[in-house]
Amino acid sequence: MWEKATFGGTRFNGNGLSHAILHSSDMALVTLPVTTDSSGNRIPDF
Amino acid sequence: MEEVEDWIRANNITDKNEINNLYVNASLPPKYNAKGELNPRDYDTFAAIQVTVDDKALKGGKPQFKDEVTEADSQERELFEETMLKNGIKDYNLSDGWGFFGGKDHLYKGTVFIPIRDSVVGSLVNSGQAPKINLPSDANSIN
Repeated sequence: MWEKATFGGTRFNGNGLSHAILHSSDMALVTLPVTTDSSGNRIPDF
Repeated sequence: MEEVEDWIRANNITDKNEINNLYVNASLPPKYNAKGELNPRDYDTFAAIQVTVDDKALKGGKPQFKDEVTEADSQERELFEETMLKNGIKDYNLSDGWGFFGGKDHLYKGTVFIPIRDSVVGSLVNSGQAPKINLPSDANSIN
């Protein structure tokens, strides 16, 4: 799951979860315009 | 897009054709396709979670949009280090660097976007097993 995630336009490593702290358990579902990165992954287009 | 969504919410607009017109007028692709589903070519749904991460969490390079937790936020950096050690990452050390010699470990605060289509969350949503919140108006709510 984290390998597909993006943070400021940057993808996560496989070990992303172990190097991240969640500020809270709150999660929001958001619909965003998407673009495709160089690896063919759909990422948010800001 | 955020401004359009704010307008839609403020005016309680639910008609999908009307919503599409508002999107197009704002020079955005239509939100819904002919079936009334989210336009899958131009939009996706993401789980957004607020996190703090270090360099090692990210795949090469620095994030484009970053809110760095600098040495001025020493308590936050210490808390991150303590949490990593508690989580079993042995000898974790968040370095502030050594002047001209560099070696500084970066820490960033921001929002992580996880595409739900390919995730556990997405599977739950698509299977209808996602956790639901009972609002007071919900027939199943406990009043």
